[in-house]
Amino acid sequence: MKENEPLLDEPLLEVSKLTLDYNLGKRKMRALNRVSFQINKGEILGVAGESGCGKSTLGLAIIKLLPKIASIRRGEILFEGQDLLKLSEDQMNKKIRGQKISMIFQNPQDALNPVFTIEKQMVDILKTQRLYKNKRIRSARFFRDQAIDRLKATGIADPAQRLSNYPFEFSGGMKQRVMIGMALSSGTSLLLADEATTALDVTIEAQINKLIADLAKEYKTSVLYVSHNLGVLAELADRIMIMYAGRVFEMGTTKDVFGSPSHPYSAALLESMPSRQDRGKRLLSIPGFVPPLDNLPPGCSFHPRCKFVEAICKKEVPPMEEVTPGHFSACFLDIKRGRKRLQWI
Amino acid sequence: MDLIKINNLKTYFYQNKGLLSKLFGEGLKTVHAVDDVSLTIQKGRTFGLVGESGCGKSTLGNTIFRLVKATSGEILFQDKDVLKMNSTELMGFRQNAQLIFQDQYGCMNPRMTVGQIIAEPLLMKAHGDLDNDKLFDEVERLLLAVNLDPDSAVKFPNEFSGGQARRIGVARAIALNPTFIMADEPTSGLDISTAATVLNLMQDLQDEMDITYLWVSHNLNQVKYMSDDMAVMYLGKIVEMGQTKDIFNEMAHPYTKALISAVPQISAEKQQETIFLKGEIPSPINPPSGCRFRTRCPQVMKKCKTHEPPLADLGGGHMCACHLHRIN
Repeated sequence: MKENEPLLDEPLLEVSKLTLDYNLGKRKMRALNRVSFQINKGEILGVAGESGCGKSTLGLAIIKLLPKIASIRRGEILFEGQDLLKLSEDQMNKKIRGQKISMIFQNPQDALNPVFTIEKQMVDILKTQRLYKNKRIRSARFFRDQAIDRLKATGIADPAQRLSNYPFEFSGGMKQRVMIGMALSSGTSLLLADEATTALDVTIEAQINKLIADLAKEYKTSVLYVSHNLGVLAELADRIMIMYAGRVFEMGTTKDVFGSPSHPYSAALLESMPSRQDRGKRLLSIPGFVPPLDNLPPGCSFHPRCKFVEAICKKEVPPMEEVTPGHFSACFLDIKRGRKRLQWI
Repeated sequence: MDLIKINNLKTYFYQNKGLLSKLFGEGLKTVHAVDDVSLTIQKGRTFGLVGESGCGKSTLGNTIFRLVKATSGEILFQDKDVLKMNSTELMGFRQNAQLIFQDQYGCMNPRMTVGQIIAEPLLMKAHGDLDNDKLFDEVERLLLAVNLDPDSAVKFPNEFSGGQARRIGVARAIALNPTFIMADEPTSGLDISTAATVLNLMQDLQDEMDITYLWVSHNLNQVKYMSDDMAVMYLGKIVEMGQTKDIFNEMAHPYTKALISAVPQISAEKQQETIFLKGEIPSPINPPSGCRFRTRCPQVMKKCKTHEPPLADLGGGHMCACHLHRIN
């Protein structure tokens, strides 16, 4: 597990009370519900939860790449002191997207254009970055060298030769390296990684995650790392945020959240991992399903599946409370029972 | 007791086989997908097969079922060679051995109801001669066995979530009381908690019905949890094989070490530092000479380039193919 080093306590991104709906005809799916958190400079924040809990929506909301059916109801996203929600599309393109905030997606195959060479695609990005930074456009040679540098930084062997290749000539791991190379411009201060290594093999996954960690350290880039692989988050992230049905359930340092989970949901996720159980012992499977977002149960949205449910959970939404300094959890039980270890099985 | 014994199995694929390529192309290319693999799967146990994508683990599984053609070797299932079976014998074998596929929706006909999908193997076995009441009872029993509502028999596959769809696949696989099931990445794409449901279910079925599993996965945590014996494959060859606990306790091959060390762990004290392998898996068209892992091996020696290490017993059935373990 990643040990905590003292971090610069300077917030880079502050999201407060972000609430977002997807409107599907008359149905309103609340994908994010009063989500508040911050990421400090140079910090890696890991976001975990089951499918459909809103973790990918969160990344898309920050870079404002949401589909048209999404509407932000309230809240603000302060990035370097500026509310991103108030910026126009044009300003987002010029100042933010690909300049200061970049995103890497789960499937690098779909994120690269199959009919252009890697060189063309990388150089295009570099050109727009320079254009928006009001720097003089230089020669083709200059951009080619820059692209080679980027590929070299992401650990691709023989970058000068590989530039003229098409995406299909690259393996999955190499394509993801290209994506990271494109995402990291000189001024990138926030990297959004949405399941960036899910499609890769373990050995390649380890390489890519090391690359992200190294680059984050070198350039003091902050990372919002979304994944459902708790093991990856444990090794990579400084802090962890657990989400469920659009809400933040628990947040704290990796050691706190994984070492002594305070919310029953976090504890359940950890207990359902095969790595934690011996051969032959049963794994925990949380009964029931993630509820549909347009029909959430009243009170705590996890109460129908929770083993420790009490009367109050069905009526009121538990507030986010600080359990120990820097470790937050939204559960009534936790306030009542003190700091006892949760055990599902 | 040995249920499946594979001897020197080779499965090659050929590229540029057509006339035009023969005349103008670069010549025949051979993909060594499975190259000289021998292994034994014991009855009632789970055999885990791990390796990176492209190492041939799925091809090996598909070859056992004769879904792809083997180039040479033999596959003994209950002492009978699958590769030499005629079509009637093959029918019988395929009733005894079932598959659970990785793509849970892709392997079900979207226009058939779940009841029809599960009933199909039953009807096949009875050659259509099965009265409806019996069939309905059987489908209901199977759905209950995988913890699904019997009423879901009238629904279509797209009405189910990933975890449920996977359980329908399991229900179909156990319909004919098979002795052997191959599960190809049975939990890929599922959430942790949903994956846990499938894993629990498959263990229960194994206890009840004494099924032997071939568990193909690249998730090492899962293989460690599920399997009794395991083999690690690299570029078409088995590099290490033995009891799962032996391999995890005393991994011998540098590739196994790297693979296991790369698995992210939550526990506070990780047993070892992650070993980062250089580069990626080479092409199986021109595998490296000597030991196939030498291009990425952190402990490569001169000998590795010229001599291919044989799979040798380190004691207690723990096999490893590496020159490092042949010196002493």
